[in-house]
Amino acid sequence: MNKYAIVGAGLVLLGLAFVAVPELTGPLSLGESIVTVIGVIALLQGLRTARDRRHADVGQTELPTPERPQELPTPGEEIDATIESGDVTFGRQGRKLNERLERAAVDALMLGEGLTEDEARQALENGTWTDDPLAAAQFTNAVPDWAPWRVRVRTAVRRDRPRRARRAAAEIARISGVHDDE
Amino acid sequence: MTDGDEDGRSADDRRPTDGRGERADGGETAGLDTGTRSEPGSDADAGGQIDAETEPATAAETGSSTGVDTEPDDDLPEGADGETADAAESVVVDSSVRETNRWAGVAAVASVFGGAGVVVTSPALLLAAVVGIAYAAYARAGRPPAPTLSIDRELEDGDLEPGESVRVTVRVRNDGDELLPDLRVVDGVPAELAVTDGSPRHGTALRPGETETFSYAVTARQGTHAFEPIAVVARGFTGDAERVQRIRVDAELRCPPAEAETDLPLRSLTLPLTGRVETDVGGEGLEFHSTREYRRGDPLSRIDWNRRARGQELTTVTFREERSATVILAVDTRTDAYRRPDETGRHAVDRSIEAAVAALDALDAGGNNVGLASFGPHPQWLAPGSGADHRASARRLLATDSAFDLSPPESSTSMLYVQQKRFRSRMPPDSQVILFTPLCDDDVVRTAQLLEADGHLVTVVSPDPTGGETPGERLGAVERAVRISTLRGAGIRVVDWPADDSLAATLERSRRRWSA
Repeated sequence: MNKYAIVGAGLVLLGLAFVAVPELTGPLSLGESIVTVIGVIALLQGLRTARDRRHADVGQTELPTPERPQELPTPGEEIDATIESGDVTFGRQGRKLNERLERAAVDALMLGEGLTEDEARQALENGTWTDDPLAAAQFTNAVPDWAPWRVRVRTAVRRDRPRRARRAAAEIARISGVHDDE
Repeated sequence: MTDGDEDGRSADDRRPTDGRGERADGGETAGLDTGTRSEPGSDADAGGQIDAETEPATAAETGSSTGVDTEPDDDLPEGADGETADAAESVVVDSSVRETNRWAGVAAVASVFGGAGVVVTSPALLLAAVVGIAYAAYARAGRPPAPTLSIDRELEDGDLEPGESVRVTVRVRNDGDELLPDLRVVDGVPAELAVTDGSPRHGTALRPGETETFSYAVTARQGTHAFEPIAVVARGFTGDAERVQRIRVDAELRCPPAEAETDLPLRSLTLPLTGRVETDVGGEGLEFHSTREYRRGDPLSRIDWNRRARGQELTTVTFREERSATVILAVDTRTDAYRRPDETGRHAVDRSIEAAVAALDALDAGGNNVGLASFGPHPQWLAPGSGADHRASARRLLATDSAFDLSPPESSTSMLYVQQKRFRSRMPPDSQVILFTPLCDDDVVRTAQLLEADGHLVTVVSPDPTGGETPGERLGAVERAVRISTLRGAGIRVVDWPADDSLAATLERSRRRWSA
């Protein structure tokens, strides 16, 4: 029994008493206006509750899902997450992603195409390691000249850094002979 | 489903004796595990679990049941005191009440209607408000029930093998005096077990004394799988608030590793003892190695008499000596190793342990000294040895020890530099190391190279945890392929074990490549 319930019950009893014996309200000298005031208070209270209700969702406890094995990451998942977040140019995560892509690209070219490390780095700088303009742009910071004009126009108007990273990752995988599952 | 004779008991004698009584009835006491896991303040730890079972080939099946009081304070101290008689008691780990806000809208509508009705003096509106107010009052009057449940979990009997289906039966009894109109129970299936039949969830209403049973099947996997606390949500009639409890009923599913003896060819670092590792040293053996000039004392049976008959010198035939080796099986158990290719695939540590068990059996059968180590934040070490006892204790460690747990370590997730150094310095001289690791980071590559530089011949068995669905996952696969070729470039043997291949087939392929 909380205090609100006690106050509420008291007010209801008082109201019933007033209904039963209207003379009791005499000394309070209340006019018609008190009814309107109470109505407005109720209305405001109603609106306040409605607002609270809008902010608080009808909730129920989220029950665990024990049927499946525990969630564990797959190697490389964090690369996808960084690309998804769009934070691929600046910040610690972006720098790390770029370093990782570059290292993987150099390794892939050395192992997959038999280049030396210098040749591999040169190929990355010149954008000649791939025929995918967006993947090439990942390491040159600009879409190469040989890219079709449609690609160049599109990259000029659209923010496509995450796409470059994704295409570069896919291209590196292709060079290394890692194919997708489908 | 009401359990007649249970009803008659007084509340006092019911609570402490229930668990033991039911276990005795069901005859399920064998191998009962009383190890406590997540309980704060509890003394018992994983050490006790190993002792509880001396024969790893028997799967422990357990059913334990206890009256559970809703007030956590009543039960927690008992569990924490570690009284052996009460150690199997399930306890309410935590209990909380949560508002569902389900009726908040009714109160708002009632107030708005009522207020509007008064302001514009419309009796119809006021009357409409009364209905809403009645509902709101009804919702307020209801309170979340305080369930007193007795939960009992029973696992199917019999010897288990990885891949077999195990039926789990959960019985929930309402030991309290009040009716539970809406009770939802979700059993805490161990993290690495997948439910294959039925559901570990159950929704029901329970009268006082009534029992409800549900069951489901999981696929057993090797190792020790402790059940998580059971999640219980109880609501009253109105559903305005719900009581959420987590109830621990200790039980473990133990599945010994499969008997899978595969031949893992060792490298040539050996001890001067007879065994099965073929060496380049000529001497006693089976396979022809070379001939050399006769020396005094050579056994007559090894003299090349044909050559002598042709009138040439006395020569002695030498055979390829077969020796034994000291091998340390090191399993990578760092958080980085807990990786899986997709949501349901087996993770790399699970497969590493399977490979380690297979290698253990094969090497021990070949007369080698085999030791065991964990390369992770929880160091575990079994000095090299041989024989049936040694093999059994190594298998037990791999199946039950917390260092080889099937869930990633929660505390101290990374491995300190000192720990890595200690790991290396512990390797006995002239020992070979077989490192089981998914090769998901560069640290382990460096460790393998350092071990090789220390003079241990290293073989890496690497379960492949990479997926190929997204560019990032494919890049992860590329990085791993680069690590493998780095290791091979350093002269370290690597067995790359794809996720959809059997270990035996992979090892066979590797052996053919190595002998070619």
